[in-house]
Amino acid sequence: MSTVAASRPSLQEEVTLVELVDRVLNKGVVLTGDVTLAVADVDLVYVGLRLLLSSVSTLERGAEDAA
Amino acid sequence: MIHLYAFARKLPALPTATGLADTPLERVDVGGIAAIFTTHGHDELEPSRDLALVHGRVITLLDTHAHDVLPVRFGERFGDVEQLRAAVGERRLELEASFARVSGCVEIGLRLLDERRAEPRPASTGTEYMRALQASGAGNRDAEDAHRRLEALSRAARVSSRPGESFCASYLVPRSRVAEVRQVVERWTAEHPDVALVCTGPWAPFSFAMEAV
Repeated sequence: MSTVAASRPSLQEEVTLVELVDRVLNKGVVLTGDVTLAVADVDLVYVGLRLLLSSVSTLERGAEDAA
Repeated sequence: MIHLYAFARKLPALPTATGLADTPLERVDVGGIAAIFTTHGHDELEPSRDLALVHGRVITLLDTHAHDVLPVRFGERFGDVEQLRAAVGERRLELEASFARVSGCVEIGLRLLDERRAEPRPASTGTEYMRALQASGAGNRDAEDAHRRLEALSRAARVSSRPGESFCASYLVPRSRVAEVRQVVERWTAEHPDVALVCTGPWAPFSFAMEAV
């Protein structure tokens, strides 16, 4: 389920991937408490999110230009 | 080396699938809890976003085969199956409590997208700065309205954004209410076309696998 507009399938897919990576790296059961990987990989999520947000504004600018 | 993906209850058979490095999924059962893992050589796996996605997709697949799934955070590794079995045995009561908490539910995510935070640009004037700050706060106030509506349909809710950050939360929703949640979100987004609020899921209950801190 996603409420991202149906006219933006690639954005919808990107949001889903970022959300999944965020959950995998930052949520879930921790048994050993080894946080090294999570800390090292937080930047990956952040980079993904920045890219995603850039694409949002690019899309919006594109829509304005077309109007 | 053992890479752990998830714990499952009532998993009749492992799906025929592979995990990291195309390695077949395996299981070890400890008192009714199945731990799902793959076996690798030392230093075989360099952590990356792609491996994290494979880890997440394995959990999503397991969620369709088992009655209940507890996702494990990426990066939980053990020397061998006996070490894994011992670790599960030590935490068995805690895991049982987590299964009871999430049983019959899925997770729904809500996130406010705010491009001002993605590309911070120094405002040239104080007025501009205050205007940007107020606009950002308005988005969060709208998101909190959506949050209240979803929370009312959920068994539990956890807000992961800190004060001043763009709103982000997860909801533990009974499977029987997912359609209702979808309708509420669709109605809300139709009423607020200017707010970039995205709702994702259903996910396995990643955000509710551990006791709230």
